Amino acid sequence: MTVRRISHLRYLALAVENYEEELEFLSTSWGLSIAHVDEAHEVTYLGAEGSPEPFSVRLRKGEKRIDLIAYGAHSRSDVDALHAELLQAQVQIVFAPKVLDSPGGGYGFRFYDVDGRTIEVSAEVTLKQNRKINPREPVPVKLSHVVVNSTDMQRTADFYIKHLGFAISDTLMSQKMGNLMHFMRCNNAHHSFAVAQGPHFSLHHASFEMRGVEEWMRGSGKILRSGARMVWGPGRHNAGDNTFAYFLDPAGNTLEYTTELATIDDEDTWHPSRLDVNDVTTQDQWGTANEMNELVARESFNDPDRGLFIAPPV
Amino acid sequence: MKIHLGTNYEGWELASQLRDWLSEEHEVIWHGAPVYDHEDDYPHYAIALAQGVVADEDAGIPSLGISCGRSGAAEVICCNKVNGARAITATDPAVLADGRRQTDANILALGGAHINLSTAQKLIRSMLETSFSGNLDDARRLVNTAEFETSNTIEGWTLS
Repeated sequence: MTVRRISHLRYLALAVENYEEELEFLSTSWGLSIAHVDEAHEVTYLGAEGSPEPFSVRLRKGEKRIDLIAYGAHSRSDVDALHAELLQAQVQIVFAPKVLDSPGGGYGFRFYDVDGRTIEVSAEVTLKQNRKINPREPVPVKLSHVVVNSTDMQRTADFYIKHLGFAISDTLMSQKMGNLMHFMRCNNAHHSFAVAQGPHFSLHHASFEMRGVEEWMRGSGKILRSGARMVWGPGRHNAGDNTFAYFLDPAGNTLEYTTELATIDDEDTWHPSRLDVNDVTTQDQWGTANEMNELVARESFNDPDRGLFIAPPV
Repeated sequence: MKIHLGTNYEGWELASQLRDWLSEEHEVIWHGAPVYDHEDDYPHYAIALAQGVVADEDAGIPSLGISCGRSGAAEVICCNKVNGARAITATDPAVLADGRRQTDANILALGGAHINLSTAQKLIRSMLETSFSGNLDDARRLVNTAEFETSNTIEGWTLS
């Protein structure tokens, strides 16, 4: 296995056309806090109160796309080493390691993954003072995982395994369509990233972890009251063992509240499973959530990502 | 704990006594006439109370509602018209505790014509000392209910 230089998922950066509406939703209803506003670039950095990361979502006004997905590295030397390894492998670099000027700073670089998504890897980020989320407080603890659609999910997964040290934790499949989604880990969380087979490249969903069941329940009620539509849930996945409730945000991206995501504490003994989606309990242990039908799947296909192999302006 | 306490004229005497008692340990928000007003109506007070509880809950502020009336039934009906309110009534603390654990009830309706101050205090203590079970099945059912309340569907399906 490639040396795992990546430590964790740091943040997701999105561009949306209805910036003000999305910002209002994320900060008022979804429960993220505004950490910093860059008016010159029409960018807002939003933090999760329970996370020490200086921000978990970066929102920019612009054509809808994934701006970038950011990961932490264990150290500055890991950043440099990973950069050198990717250069050696002829991965296209967006910028070489340097001191970053986003909130929390740090030292990092950006590159395009095999599909053209911009990926940032950084270390030495100044963490913020986080706090334990109060009982029954309907706000996220942290960004849990990001899932993307790919027209060739195996190629995407192979890139993350070969170059970034990710491992497949479990796979969703169907007898008719083959593999549908790889859940991938970069630490002991069952998955911080996943890649789904889709008709185009896009954001499938971003998931936020709530403190517990009660906070997940109250948060879901709050989001429903905001007028957002719950496109799937409530349920409990088999892969990852986490509860789920998926909502459509004003930009048409799917966001999830989850809790109790499984951890894999002994990777040597973990055996990835291939879980058949036609078994109703595969995706929802309770078997009560609406089926992952064509309508739900279509919502998760999202709009095609216009940002492939185009570096975001910030 | 923030307590939203409301009443119409039929629960006014009980609510006034509870107000003094609750204020010793909690922040009490009064939803009722400033002085006894014979024939004032309950909907305005009950709805304002429920709105206050839901707004606090969404803001992560620990709060509960106590809505007083003649039997408590009208207050339950009225409060539950507010999206996010989960009002229940009881005369037995054990039944109330069970309901609170199962439904994460956030409002207690009290019937001032049927219980005295001592019973009301026992019921309120039961409400304050009990919390939601955290049971996943109960949580799912509450999210189902919240979904129906906002979109007329349960897990995406329209009921017919």
